[in-house]
Amino acid sequence: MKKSLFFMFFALLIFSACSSQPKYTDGKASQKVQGDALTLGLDREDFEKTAEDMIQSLLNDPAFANLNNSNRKVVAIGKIINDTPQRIDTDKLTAKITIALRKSGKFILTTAIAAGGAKDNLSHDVRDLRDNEEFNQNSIAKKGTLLAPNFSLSGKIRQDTVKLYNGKIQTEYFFHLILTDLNSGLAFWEDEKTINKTGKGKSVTW
Amino acid sequence: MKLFYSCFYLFVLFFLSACSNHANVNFFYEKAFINKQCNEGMLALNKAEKDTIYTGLNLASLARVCKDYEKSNTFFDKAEEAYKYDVDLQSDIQKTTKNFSEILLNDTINNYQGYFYERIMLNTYKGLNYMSLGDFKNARVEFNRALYRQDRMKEYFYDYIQKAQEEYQKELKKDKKIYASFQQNLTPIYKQYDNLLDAFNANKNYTNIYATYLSALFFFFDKDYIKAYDLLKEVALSDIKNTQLQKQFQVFEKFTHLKTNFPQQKYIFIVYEDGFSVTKEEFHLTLPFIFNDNLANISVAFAYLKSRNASYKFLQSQGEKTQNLIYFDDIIASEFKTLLPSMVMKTLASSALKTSINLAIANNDSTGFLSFISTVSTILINKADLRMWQALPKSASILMLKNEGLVKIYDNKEKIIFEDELEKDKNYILMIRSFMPNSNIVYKIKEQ
Repeated sequence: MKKSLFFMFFALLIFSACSSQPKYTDGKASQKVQGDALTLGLDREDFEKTAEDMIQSLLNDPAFANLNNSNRKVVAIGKIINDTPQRIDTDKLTAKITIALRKSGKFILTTAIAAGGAKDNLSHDVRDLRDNEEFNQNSIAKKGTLLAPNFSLSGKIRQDTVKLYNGKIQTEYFFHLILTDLNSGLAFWEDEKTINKTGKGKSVTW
Repeated sequence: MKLFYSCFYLFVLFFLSACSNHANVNFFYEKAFINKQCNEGMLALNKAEKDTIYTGLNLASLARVCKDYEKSNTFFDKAEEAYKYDVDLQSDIQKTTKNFSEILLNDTINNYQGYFYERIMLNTYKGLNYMSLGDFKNARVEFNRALYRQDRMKEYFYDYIQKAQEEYQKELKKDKKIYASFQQNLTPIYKQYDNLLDAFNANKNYTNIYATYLSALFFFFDKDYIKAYDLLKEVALSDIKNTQLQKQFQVFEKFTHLKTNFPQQKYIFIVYEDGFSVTKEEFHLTLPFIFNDNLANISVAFAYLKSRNASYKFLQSQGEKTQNLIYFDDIIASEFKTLLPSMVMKTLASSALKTSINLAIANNDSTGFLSFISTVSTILINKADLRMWQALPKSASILMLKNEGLVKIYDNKEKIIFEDELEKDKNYILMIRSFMPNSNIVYKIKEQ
């Protein structure tokens, strides 16, 4: 009898400890749990999952169905705004997406132009060597060889926090990405993915 | 008996470490801000390892006075981290131990826990520091944090305070006789506080519109015009008689229209931070307590808010005067007033416990020596906690001017305090921090 009481107490203790872990939910009133979350903040798993979902959404879009290696489009990274209270390296999201885009054969990334400066300055720097006698001038990139981007990938990551009836908090992350045709200024693709987490709000998420 | 004496001496030593109420340290920081004490020794990062929130906030402000924005943010980061791990996330056992030591001695035995308004201002100043460094990405994070804390405060603050009060009430009710004498003592204490806090207009919703206003300016400077407009609308609606605010709101509104080209006119947003906000001082009340049916009159120390002098009444430029946006004294008084019942309860509980220890020692000490030491120690630690973030201004006021390439700012007596040339195609924030007349720091922040 004593043993079973002890066991029950132990189980209760474990259960109460587990319940304090943040959870992924569907974000709806039903609060359907979709697994354990590491923290209420944004972690690597969130970026990987979002990038994966976004890539599928983009590549499955009918607008890009006819693209292949021969008519692939050049994409530049535009402004990805971190509009959350957390310090986030937005490259975590875009790097996964751009790698997948390149692998698909439908797109290729330019590093010569990007919002806030080129991803790789060397394509510009090498052109500064044109009058440098130390370099074989024939090996230096000619004028008019850089390819201008056809599309720019831009977006925003936002965060909202709501207090739930049970005293817990729901942290909602919105990942919004847009692929804009730089020729027409039209958005050829856009999508928003949401991540919802609930947990105790004893402190801030950062 | 030997063990009893050893424990007692240890106890006395522990007591003595709680003898300071930090009034002198507060004054030391105040002087450092006015005199711009920017030497490396003063701003050594390891100083914030002890009592991180109190030291971190004050040294972050001093580094900001010295325009060492990176160091200022490092101190702010330390304080912010301490708010999270040492205050918010501390376990119930830690809280109980802390409470017990505070009741046994006084609040200064533990690290400073800070106030909610301080957290909002911490992120706001961090945001301004990042703007000064030209790092708008991180500035956005900090202003979002300030706004997040503002929302959270509206939602959580009341619950938090209620819970704290209920806990103390529960604790006190355990001894019915002592609780009865507490109840009897509350009236003279609150009466005293009514007089002391009469000068402040304590807000009910604790909203710090200054943080919202500065966030609006940031988002405007970061060309996030819709967000800037929404934030400024919140501020403008809270004070519809403020013509400066309404003027700025109209400018922001122009940027929300569907246009390819925005207005070419650029502006200078003058933000004037005036003087020092309230500081805490100490007063004593002699109150009657009943112990084992005997009446004892005990002197109890409480903290109260004391307002300080303004610097310049207003600043002026291009024939216009700055217009008041917020009184920090009122924001601080609001939180202080809300925390007052739990603070009073804790002080009373502390005094009662210390006196009962003294009485117990007196009853068991035939020599009278221990009793004497114990009484002296109690007198020494009968101090209120006066720690505060000393650098906040008394009030903040604003003025918007057209950027014509040159700015001249005058004080209320028409004496020039700042003159500079500006790039005409940029918006600017000119923040004038004046601790007292002729002790000013001007922060010039340019749109990217």
